[in-house]
Amino acid sequence: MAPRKNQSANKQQEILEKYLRESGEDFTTNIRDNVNWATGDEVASLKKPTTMDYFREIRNKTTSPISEEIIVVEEHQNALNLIFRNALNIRDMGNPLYGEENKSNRKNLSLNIEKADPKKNKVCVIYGGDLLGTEWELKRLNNAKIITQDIHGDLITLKEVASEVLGDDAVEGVTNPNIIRKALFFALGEKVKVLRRDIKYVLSHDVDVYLINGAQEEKINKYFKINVLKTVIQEINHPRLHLIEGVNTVVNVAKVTKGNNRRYATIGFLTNNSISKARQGQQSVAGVKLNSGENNADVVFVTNTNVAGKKGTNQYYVSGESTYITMAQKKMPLLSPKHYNTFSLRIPKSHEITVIEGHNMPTPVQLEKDIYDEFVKQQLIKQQIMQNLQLQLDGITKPAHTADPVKTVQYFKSRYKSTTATAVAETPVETVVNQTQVDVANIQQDVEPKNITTVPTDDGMGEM
Amino acid sequence: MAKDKYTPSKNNPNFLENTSRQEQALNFTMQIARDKSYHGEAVVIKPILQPIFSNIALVVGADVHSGAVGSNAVREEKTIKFIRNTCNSIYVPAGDMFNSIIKEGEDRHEDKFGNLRAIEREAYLLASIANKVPVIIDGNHDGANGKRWMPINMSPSKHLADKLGIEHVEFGVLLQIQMPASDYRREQRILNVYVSHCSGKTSGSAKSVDITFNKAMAELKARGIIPDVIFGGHFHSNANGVFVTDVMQYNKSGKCIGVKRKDTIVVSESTLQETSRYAQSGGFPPSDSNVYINNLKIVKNPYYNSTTKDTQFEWIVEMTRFPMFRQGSDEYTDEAKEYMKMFAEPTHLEEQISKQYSSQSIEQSIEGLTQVVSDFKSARFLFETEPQQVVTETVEDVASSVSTTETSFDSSGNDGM
Repeated sequence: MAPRKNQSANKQQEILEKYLRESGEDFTTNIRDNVNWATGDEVASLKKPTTMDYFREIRNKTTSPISEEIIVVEEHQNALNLIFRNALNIRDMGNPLYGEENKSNRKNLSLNIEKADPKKNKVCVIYGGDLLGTEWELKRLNNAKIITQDIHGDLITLKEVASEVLGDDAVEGVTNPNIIRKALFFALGEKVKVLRRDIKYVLSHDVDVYLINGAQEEKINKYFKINVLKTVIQEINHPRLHLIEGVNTVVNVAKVTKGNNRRYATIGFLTNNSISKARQGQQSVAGVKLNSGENNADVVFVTNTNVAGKKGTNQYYVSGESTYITMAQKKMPLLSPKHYNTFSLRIPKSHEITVIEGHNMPTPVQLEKDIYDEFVKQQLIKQQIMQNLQLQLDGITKPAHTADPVKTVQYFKSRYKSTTATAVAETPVETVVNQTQVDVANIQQDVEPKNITTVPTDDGMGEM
Repeated sequence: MAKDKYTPSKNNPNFLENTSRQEQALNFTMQIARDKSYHGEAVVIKPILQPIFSNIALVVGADVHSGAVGSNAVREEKTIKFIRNTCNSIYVPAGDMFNSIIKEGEDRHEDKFGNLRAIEREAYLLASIANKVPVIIDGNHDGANGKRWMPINMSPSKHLADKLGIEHVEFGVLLQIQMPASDYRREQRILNVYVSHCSGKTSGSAKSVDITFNKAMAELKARGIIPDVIFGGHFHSNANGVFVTDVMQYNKSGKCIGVKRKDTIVVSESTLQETSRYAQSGGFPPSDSNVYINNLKIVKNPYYNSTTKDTQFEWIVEMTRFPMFRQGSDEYTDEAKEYMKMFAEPTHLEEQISKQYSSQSIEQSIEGLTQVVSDFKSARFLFETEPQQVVTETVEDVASSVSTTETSFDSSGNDGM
């Protein structure tokens, strides 16, 4: 038996020979194109795809790569401030969601909104996918708990809730797909409630909110055949609440300038990342390579990758909100808020975006400036005094008294109150200079300098 | 010098050897081998006291390649101007400020002018901001330990640092910046920033961040320090990342009692070296040539509370990073201009002070002080012969003793003058 090196080529040859044998046609002269080589079936009408077919396919895609939403930054608004709120994993209890339970997650958000300053800037909170978690799937519901205050007030399992709401069939009819679907939908509904509450809280701050589907939402949509985020928008029905369709989209941003002119730029969002399970270091390298060609907007924000930072030219990997403590080995390790989810964008020219990573521009504290100004002032005054002092000292060639120790001691005794030379010798020059500085500061109020009072007065040897 | 000691040689007893000389040489060699002052320190710790500002603008100037083809000199000068005009800025040249000396065409950037001129130029530029440059760090192109300068064991960076009176560091420096936290109490806290030039090869800008982090942690973990921010250069990339590290918590007796999570910001800094033939042939990543301003601030961790206090730090660093120059242009960005305005040096004070205090008014006010200082200077001269002795005699004792006894200069009666 011949070695099977190229199995597909052999198979193809075999099918072709069989077909031609059975159809009675000549192998060498007549090879038909409209044959499915895998099955040997003849395809009734076969047309080779052309470029136009490709164009039609792209055009007929359900989600366009360019979003219909346009973010407009008005003339009076300085910058476009983006606050990302992704990877919320609402109500996933398998890993304690410390961020949500203790409200520190919400506290961080309100701090960020405050720093973004909605009065002076256009602030957009982007819910960038992976919001509803994974614990709505049946396989994860065994140990899931739902906190519901209106049923007994205690923590209970989903099965118990399902039995109360849906009847005893729910517990026994685990194999019934409709029952399962209802139970899962119930679990999902609890999560959506929390999301709705969160969005309403954000909307109360005079900011725009954009929802984008992530991998988790796509899975939900596929299973339940709904658009879960769209239902949320319809239920809330707020003018500042928008949906950006798709998981790899480009959004136009317009900055209005004088004379109602507009400068345009594009922002890309990538929310569904298939490499989310890789380790952090490798993921960033792979992610940049993968995402470099997919989205060519002026600035691209990639969410739900568990990597935070700027990794490629104009590619910003945004950190999520979940505060997991422990994760399974090699699966999204150390998922935690890394405080890399706020950006300030300015458009000085069309398709040129300046990105400030972090919050809005820092503001100086006036007290610090005043302290620094005073420090500089004192340094300058001291410098001037020292310069002047040096000039004067250089002018003094010989002291009033000679090098005779007796005469020196007598001289000091007459000038100063201390009777011992020790007290005089130990007084450092700098102390005197510092004391004088205080008096010089007082000169600010008077035009003419005051007499220096800290230096002891003359006892009669001569005027100072 | 030890006494010469001659002993018969091992091979031929008629040949005498000076063994004392050999012993001396051996002792000398042993001493030199044990002496660690020659060893370059991998991490130099440098405390910086900054008690006023709760915001610090840290600008890391990596890979300037002064004098090389493609090095953007205009941007460099404007960077120096920015540092000079902002009161809370710190500038750290992080290696490769100069070019190497191997012949052209051999693993180095092309020169527009040589290192001699480049050093003069940099000395002139940095002289105006020398008070804001804590260290100058060696790179692989301009460090004595890199292959390019090792044959002659010299470093243009060291030469520049000596000229300006700035500390020179061969590998990496840990800046321990003591500054007030940005809350109403303004308690002084320490911010650990590690800056080094870094080394190695990378296939892309994302990996450069990983290499920078790994190399820094390898050095610092051995010293038990986990920095808040890490800066590196060398790769000519412009990328950054946040790495979560676990910091062990120990009690007083040394037992490990827990782990706290720290977010370390790692930055692989951009370069002022734009595209050149060398960069192209070397396969450097596409250069995003720019200088970035990193505003650092110590803030309260919003995730710190009674339930998370065992796993989260109370104080964390907040970094706001933005470019100094616009894309494809040497103009400042609006953000850089805004920052310069907000944190401007009070240059108006010099004129104000000189107007307010005329030379005459200062002269009059310190006239008495001048006399006092002059007196002290002359008095010090008298006591200089015995500075440690405390004079306890009274004036009367001295006067009476001098008038009756002979002088101490010469017992023969000569006064020694």
